[in-house]
Amino acid sequence: MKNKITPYALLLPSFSIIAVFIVYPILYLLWGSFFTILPGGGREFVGTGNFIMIFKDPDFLNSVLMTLKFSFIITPVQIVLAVGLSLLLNRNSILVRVSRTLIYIPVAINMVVATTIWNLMLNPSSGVINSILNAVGIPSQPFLTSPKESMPVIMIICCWKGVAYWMMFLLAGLQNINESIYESGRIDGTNFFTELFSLTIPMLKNPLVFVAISDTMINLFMFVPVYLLTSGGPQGSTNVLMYEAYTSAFKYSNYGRSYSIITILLMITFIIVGLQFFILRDKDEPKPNKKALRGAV
Amino acid sequence: MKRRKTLKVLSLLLAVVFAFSLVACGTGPSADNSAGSSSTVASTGTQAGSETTESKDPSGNVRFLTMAEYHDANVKVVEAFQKAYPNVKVDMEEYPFTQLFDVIEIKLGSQSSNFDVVLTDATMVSGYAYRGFIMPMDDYFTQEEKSEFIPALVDSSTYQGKFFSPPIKNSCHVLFYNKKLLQQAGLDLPSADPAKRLTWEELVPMAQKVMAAAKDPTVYGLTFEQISRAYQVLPLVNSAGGKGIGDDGITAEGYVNGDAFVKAMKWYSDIHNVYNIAPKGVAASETVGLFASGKIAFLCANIFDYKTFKSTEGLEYGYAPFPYFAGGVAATPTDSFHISVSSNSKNKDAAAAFVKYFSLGEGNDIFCESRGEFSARISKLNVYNEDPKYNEEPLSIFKLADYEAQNTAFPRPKSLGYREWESVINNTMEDIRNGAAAKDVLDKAVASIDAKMLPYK
Repeated sequence: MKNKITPYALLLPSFSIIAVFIVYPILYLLWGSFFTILPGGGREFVGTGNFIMIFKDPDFLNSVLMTLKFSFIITPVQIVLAVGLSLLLNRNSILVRVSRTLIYIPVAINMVVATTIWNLMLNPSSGVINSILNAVGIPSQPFLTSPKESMPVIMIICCWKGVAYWMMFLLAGLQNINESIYESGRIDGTNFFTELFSLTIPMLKNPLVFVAISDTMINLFMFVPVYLLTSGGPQGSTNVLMYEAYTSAFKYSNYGRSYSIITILLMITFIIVGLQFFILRDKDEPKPNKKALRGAV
Repeated sequence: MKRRKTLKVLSLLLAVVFAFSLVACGTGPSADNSAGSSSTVASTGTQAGSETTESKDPSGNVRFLTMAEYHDANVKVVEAFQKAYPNVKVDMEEYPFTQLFDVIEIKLGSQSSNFDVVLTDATMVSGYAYRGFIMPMDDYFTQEEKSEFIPALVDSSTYQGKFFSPPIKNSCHVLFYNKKLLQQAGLDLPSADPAKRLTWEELVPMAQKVMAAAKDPTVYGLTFEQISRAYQVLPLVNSAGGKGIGDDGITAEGYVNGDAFVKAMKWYSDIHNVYNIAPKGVAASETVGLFASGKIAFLCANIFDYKTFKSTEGLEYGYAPFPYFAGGVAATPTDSFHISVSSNSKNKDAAAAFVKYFSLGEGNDIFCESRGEFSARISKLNVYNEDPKYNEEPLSIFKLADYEAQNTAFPRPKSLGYREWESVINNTMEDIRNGAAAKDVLDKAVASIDAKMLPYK
């Protein structure tokens, strides 16, 4: 009896935290998305009214598109860069250790501070980046005021800030790979690419799955650079769902709309993460023999 | 096998939770007080005040949610108030202009009783009253006291026949110019006489001449203090004969994409993208500094900026009436800031006493004089016309403001969905400034406003 209770007792603190900080807010959000705020502060049940309303709103539809565009482009780019960096920095010389520290510095900088610094650097009239471009004969670029450039600029900032973070997980994974596996490969005549794709990447699968899923989720929920740099503009080109939800709640006090937007965002997240789990599952793992299991019980 | 699978599921679940926590920690907006600053003004005396109709003897604490840019003036008002009402202690929580309205929505939307008095933009009075954020003040202001305010501002203060939010200031905008830059270009200085008001069309070649004569790529001809904000740019539309929204406060079709709106926004785009006389990429917070440092020839700005320009060494400036479109009407930006009592205040009497002190009498005089603000009170407007000190520059700007207030002032539209409308319009104006085709983005703005006004229909 004691043995049966112990695992659950040990899991209880974690599940309590999950229930309070994850499950409850999500349920509250889902419940709230079916209500609208009445004059004077009351609430009225409107069923799917908020959802019908947002699907009629071109700004919401655009923000779904922008969120997916941002996430689908930046996530693979960040992962490839993180893998590349981790391979480059998987050495043990002083130079590599110093480089690792320098590359990790953006992760340690607060996102608001980092974005503010980028904002100053990207200023069209006094920013250092345009000054450098002008010095080499390139005209000033409307980095944050052009609908073509603003989203790529935000992606670059997010990569600068995030790649080193994911790199550290992959670096830890690389350092867990036994060197003898590579030695065996070399005896069999592997080159760099066969080593990378046949040995390193498969051996990195577990940290890669974690990085891919976590990075996707963080990118779907990206907010700070948009809030501080572009306010969703120019022409809605950076208006992601998180910003649309923020403006609904905190500019318009339309919490029902905001909850509905976040509900849609959560659904998108669950679908994408579910697909990732399915695609990246361990296909070699033998399926459990249900008959045998039933017999065991 | 089963145990292995359970462990795997648990580890994946924890990975998801970990990622969610990263999201929560890394990207969520903070709704705490960290962005604002809180200050308490100590009571320094026990002298009785001079209020006329206040019969109660309020006491206790009052928390005032206000704008950081008003800090110095607010401190003076609060100090004077605490002398008049020694039993009331006023704490201020201040936020920058760019954050204040979001903070108000968050804090009052949460029905918090932590705040008693709230600085309120004129356009937000009806919205806050509709949402139940603020309480009517009819019990605290007599009809005679209400009639002390300019009637248009009493109208802004009123929602469904109830008086919610007395004004503490009015506003008026003029065209400031840099005398040195104009003289360098051989231009005559514009007149301050409203009868000799410049047109926007006349202003363009003047600005071009100034830029050509300056031979400095960092000098620009013209800009707006509140660039790409409806408050200052919408009067261009009004001057062209248009309106920001229908009289019902909801309909955008035919107004936001109407001929007058398109004409005005086409000109607004041209000064940034065709004539290149107005700087792009400059934020509203930078424009006054640019004018003060001699980098802008003409600046459309609030009259209170005269205080900054007057104290800027080496700056020779003048002012002229806000221009208009040839063939159109003179339209100057105006609107007021008000002060309201939160519906959730637990100390309504003390809060109302503070609101009254701030909007009428001594407190309001202190505030307006400290900041060089245009008064919202009729008795003060009379002073502008009767006191000879207002005949000389720079104070003569108040006489021009008085004229504009009575003849050409166009307030922003009243709408329950004002925040939604303003947010879309400001973004659209900024897109137009950055070169987007006016008609195209205005059509999109109509669709966006229509969708966001649905809850108010």
